[in-house]
Amino acid sequence: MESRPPAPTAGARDADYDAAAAFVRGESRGVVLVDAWIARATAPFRRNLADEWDDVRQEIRIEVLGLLRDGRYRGESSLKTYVWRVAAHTCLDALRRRRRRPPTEPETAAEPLVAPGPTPLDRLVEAERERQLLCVLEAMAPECRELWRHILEGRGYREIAGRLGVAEGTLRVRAHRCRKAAEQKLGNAGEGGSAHE
Amino acid sequence: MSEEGAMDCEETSQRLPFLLNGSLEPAERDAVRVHLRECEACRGDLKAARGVAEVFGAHLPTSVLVDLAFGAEPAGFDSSLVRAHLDSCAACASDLALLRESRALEAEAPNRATALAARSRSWRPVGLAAALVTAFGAGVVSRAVRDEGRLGASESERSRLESRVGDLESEVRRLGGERERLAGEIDRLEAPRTNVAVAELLPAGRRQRSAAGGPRPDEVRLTSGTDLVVLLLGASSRGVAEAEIRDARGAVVWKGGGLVPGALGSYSVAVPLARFSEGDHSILLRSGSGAPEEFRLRLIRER
Repeated sequence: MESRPPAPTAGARDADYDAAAAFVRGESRGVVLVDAWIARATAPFRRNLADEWDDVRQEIRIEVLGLLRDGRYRGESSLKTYVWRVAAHTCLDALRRRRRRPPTEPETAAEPLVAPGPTPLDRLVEAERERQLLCVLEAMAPECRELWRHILEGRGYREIAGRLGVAEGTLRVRAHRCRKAAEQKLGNAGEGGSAHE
Repeated sequence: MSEEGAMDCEETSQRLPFLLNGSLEPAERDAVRVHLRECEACRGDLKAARGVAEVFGAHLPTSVLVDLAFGAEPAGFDSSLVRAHLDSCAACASDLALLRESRALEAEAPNRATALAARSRSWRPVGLAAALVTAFGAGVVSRAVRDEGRLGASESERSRLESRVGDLESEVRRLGGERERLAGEIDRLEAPRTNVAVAELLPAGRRQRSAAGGPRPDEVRLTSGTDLVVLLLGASSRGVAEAEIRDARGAVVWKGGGLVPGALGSYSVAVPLARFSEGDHSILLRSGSGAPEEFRLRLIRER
């Protein structure tokens, strides 16, 4: 793991706070500087985000403006690194949203396919849920993970059976067994046990 | 499935993942939905299947990947779990690579507004096209940084221009590299040629004698450094001539006109070796003053 850069000096921190204040006030020296950082930080994501790239950069500007205005930047890192992290986070979230296939079978007719924004409690719960899911996933057999990767990529059972060289019925049974194994591990993990039981 | 198309619980349960991913054929999908409407247990199974889809679709949270890219230990996640997932999930590994690529650009970015302005003033023209591109880009940045009071562009316009400056910077760097490459090519083409093979040839009808034990006069031995062959054709004709070189199969290697005899009376042709294959060649020289004259040449590569 790379070592963390040294904390900014007092002089550098003052300059960062000054630049942050200039950005919040809308002064060109602050805006141009932060915009230049955002443009560079998001450059590697440009091809993947395609027509969304401009919107994502605007999202980052708004996020950075909000964080700086609320005093959330406390000088733990340079302002540049702080902006870079916000940009990285926002770009990756946008990328993952693009990749995620919308569910084709809503649970109820009234349930929206896209949930509203999470509260802080939602985020905590979500973080724990993510950790739990990953633990269960790591406990699953590679064959199950491979099979379900095909399913999550939207392939039908006939196509997957063809790819794996098995009969359709066999494929459905395998997917079913993997599902039941995952349900059991998920149940164990949810009850405070180990996903490896 | 029964003949009427109705499904039982086992058939329905096996098809739930494919109902969720939208890949069922319409008839199968409808049959599953009909069963779900009537079977509470299978509706519960559908909910469980959604949970399982979440498991198999789980990825490292964005915050974990960003922490890794920025050299920090991910909070709340066991490092062995993170490593195991990165080893098996191409999507997360690819996302982390993108984040690291972004992070690597941070070191190149200016730290301060003054650094940004100084760098824009210090741009040097790299070539005519590059100079125009550079001047435009420098002008945009200089105006944006210096003329704070007169800057009437909105924030979005400034950021659009800044993005354009970034694109122009990349183009300047690319053009600079291209200029260097072309300059090298010009140097190579204008440089004196060394290790040139020379063949002094007489018409085929006139016998050429070689020194005892020496190579035949119409034989040219090519070493590894040779890339040009100069043919001196001792013709009896005078005046402007045309020449045609053919290989052993009769294919034309080169054909050209405007040859005039030199001070010693020979016509000269310098041919890049790339045009020749090893072996016998014939050269036909035609001028207005006499009959065409044929010369023979043998090229041998020394190994």
